[in-house]
Amino acid sequence: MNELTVFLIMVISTLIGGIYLGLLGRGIDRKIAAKFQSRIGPPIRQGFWDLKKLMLKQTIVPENSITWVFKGAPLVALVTSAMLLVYIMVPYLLYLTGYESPMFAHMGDFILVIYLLMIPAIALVAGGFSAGSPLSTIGSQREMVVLMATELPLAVTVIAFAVKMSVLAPSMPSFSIFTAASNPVWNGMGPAGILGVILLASAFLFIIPAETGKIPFDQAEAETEIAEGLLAEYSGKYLAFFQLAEALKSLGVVALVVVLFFPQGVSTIMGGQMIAGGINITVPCEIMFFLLKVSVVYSVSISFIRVSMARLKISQVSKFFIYSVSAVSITGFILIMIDPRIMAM
Amino acid sequence: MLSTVSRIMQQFFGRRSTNVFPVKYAPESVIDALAGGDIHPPISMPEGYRGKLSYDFDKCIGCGMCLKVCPAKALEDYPIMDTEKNRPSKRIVFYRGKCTYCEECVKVCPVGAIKLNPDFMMANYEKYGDDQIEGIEKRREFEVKEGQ
Amino acid sequence: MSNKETYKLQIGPTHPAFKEPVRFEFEVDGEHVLHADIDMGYTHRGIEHVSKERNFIQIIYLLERICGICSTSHPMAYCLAVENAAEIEVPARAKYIRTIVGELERLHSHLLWAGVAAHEVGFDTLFYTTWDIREKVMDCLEVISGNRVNYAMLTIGGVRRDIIGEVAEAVNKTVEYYSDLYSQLEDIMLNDMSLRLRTENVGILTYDEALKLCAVGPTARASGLAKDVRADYAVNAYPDIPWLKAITPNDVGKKPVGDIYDRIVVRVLEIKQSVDIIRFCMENMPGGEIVAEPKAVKVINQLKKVKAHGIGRYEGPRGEVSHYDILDNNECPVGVKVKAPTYSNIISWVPMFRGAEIADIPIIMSSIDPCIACSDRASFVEGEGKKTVSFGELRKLSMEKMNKIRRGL
Ligand code: SF4
Ligand code: SF4
Repeated sequence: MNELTVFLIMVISTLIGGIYLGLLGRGIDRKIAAKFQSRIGPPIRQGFWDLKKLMLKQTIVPENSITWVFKGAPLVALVTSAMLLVYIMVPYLLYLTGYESPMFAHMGDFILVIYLLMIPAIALVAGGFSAGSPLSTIGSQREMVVLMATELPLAVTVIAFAVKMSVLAPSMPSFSIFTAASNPVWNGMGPAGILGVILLASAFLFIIPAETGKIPFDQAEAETEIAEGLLAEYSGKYLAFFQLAEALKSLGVVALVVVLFFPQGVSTIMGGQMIAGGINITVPCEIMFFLLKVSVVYSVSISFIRVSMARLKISQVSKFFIYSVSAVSITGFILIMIDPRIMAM
Repeated sequence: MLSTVSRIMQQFFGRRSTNVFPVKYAPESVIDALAGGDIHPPISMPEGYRGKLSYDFDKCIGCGMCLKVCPAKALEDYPIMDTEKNRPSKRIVFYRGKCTYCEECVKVCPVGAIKLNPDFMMANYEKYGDDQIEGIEKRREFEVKEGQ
Repeated sequence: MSNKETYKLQIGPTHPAFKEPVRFEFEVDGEHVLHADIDMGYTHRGIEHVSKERNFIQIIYLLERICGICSTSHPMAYCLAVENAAEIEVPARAKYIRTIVGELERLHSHLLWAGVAAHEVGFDTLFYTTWDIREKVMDCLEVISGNRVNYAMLTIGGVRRDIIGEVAEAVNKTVEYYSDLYSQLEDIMLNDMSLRLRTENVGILTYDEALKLCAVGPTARASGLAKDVRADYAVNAYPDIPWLKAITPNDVGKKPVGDIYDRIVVRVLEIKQSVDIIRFCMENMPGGEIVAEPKAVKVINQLKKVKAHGIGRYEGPRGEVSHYDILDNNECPVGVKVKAPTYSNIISWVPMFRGAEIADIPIIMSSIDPCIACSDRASFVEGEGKKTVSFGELRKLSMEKMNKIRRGL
């Protein structure tokens, strides 16, 4: 098969699967949260119904808004979230299917992923500011603070990975997701390094809710404080776009964590191809296993954290990320760095 | 912190608290869809629950005490001709939409003509529809109009 | 940064954080509140005026509807006031039953408040948990009185239903349930980290301010002001309880700061206190009648002959509620005056909001457990809109009204 055809198939299937799974994920998340709160919760299909309903609803654009920003922001958020998902998933899928080609070696650059993570948030901020209501302005300010606060730990983690990759696989590009997927970061680690990776992973436990705007880091929307904040003025299809973008982004961030920290596929763990009844079922098995990992990370870092905490104040969020989470990730980074020396001793 | 987590886990593995709306009372349009699933019985009402009001036309002696105590002025009297004693008397209709279920009329009635039942499903679209007025049929039948 | 850019943030009358309509106007600098202005009067219903056209029995159920949560406190204060005026003696058993219902109401009100406060800080699980726990006391009240919210238990001169047999068993079971659950509840409410982060040193009302602004109820007690009508001006079964006293954070060995956390402490401890009071009442309930005069029409006729005025004070879940009634040889009172606890506490919002962040607004607002419907007792209108009256004008108006009543009496 032509490389380009493979690429296109991957992208399109990721997009369709992503939208489907993203909305399904929302439903499952709400169901699990409801269970934690001893409720029944909405049906799992609720995400799809919500989207359908919003698409049919009237879309109101506030009079004193900057119309083109207000209308453009949801689209930007949607497109970049989709790109983020594709950018994380395609290299990983390539790795899972074992399709190797020099063209794909550089795919999935970490730095670009960090930027792509930022753009939907910036689109939200722009949309909030353009709406011209004080509540959405406050929401936008808060979203910016959360965005900036999470940058440092995120960057530290990524650099730690790049450094580790340059050691593990010197021949491959160190900032690439494909490299990270094919060389699990746990490989060749001493106790200090393993502790370091665990610290990085626990930092991510809080970065995920912050990136996806869930309690305790949902200050930008904060229903009881500023009445959905930066989404306060959005309605109809623009709100639907934001919801879809959020669903895709959540899936993307969770997938990123899975790819970074737990990339091992079934074949790596089982040590070979899976054959059932003479048919090679490795690829379906890999995908199922991947989805399992995604749902575990999703329900722990999003559903469980959001039901077990109160919403923090924005000043506490910035302190929490800039001091605590950054400290944790920097410690993790240092541990990973000094690990080879300790091992050598 | 720990007890919060333990409570959350308890709730996760415990029984859910939601009491599903009994299918029996669901709007007709969804009954078919729900009929396949579980039929949830309504929670049983304790004895002495103050619910839907019922009125015994034949027991009532028309003393008018209930009119005096009703805080919501949910009842209205109308003249009838008492055939047994052969003298004019009064009977009552109750506007359920106005009733506050205080049970004051029940307590005050000397002959026990009024009762509050454990029935609590009384929602309706029409505030003054026939089924929201207790005793309206009897009123139509027996009311003595002026000049009759 | 000499002239900071500030802007006005209007919150309310309808807002997701508010359960009832009230409007705030905040002057905000970034995330910080510089000044708060409160505007009330969106739920004024003229209940006092309506009650002048109802007879004494009808008024009980009208006053019950001042507020759904304090649906025993208002009738209680009213009945006490009328009994005080007409010198009706309430049987001892009725006093105990009144206490039990009142304390069950406090239990349910505090649990409800805990849920609302948790929801305001985004802790929805705690909200569901406390409301789930609250179901038990609601069910108990339903068994006792026949309804979950408007109990209709009180009447002038006693109560309307007795607590015997199965009902008494249900109450005992409820007491057991809450004493078993209490330690877990206390641990969650007082030691949860994210909750402490949001409530400690937020919305501070100092002892002096509480004293000066006449705060009442848990709001005042959290600032270290040991005042509780149940202990200070005891009615019902409260004088019989030897260990009853106003609860302050001192009881858990904490110096009262007057922040929201202290208000949680006070309310959580009061849950335990209420459970203990109910247990005490169930154990020591005397026998006998439950009402001085069971026939409502007779009561009305009896009160028709009275020309006096009476005052009733009762400690509702939110603080002191007092009613003042004037009886004037009539089926209906000539004057009913309601003073709800929130009315005294509203003004303590102003020092609490000073220096708060926008994120603190909902939790500070709900920390006094406001009941707007209770406190909207007067409203000045002029043409289409509302009117503001100055202190002098208000004083003049009240004096005129008082003189009018006096002349009539
Ligand atoms: S229950 Fe109360 S409100 Fe209803 S009709 Fe009887 S007295 Fe009136
Ligand atoms: S109090 Fe009883 S008997 Fe008298 S009018 Fe009412 S229902 Fe009839």
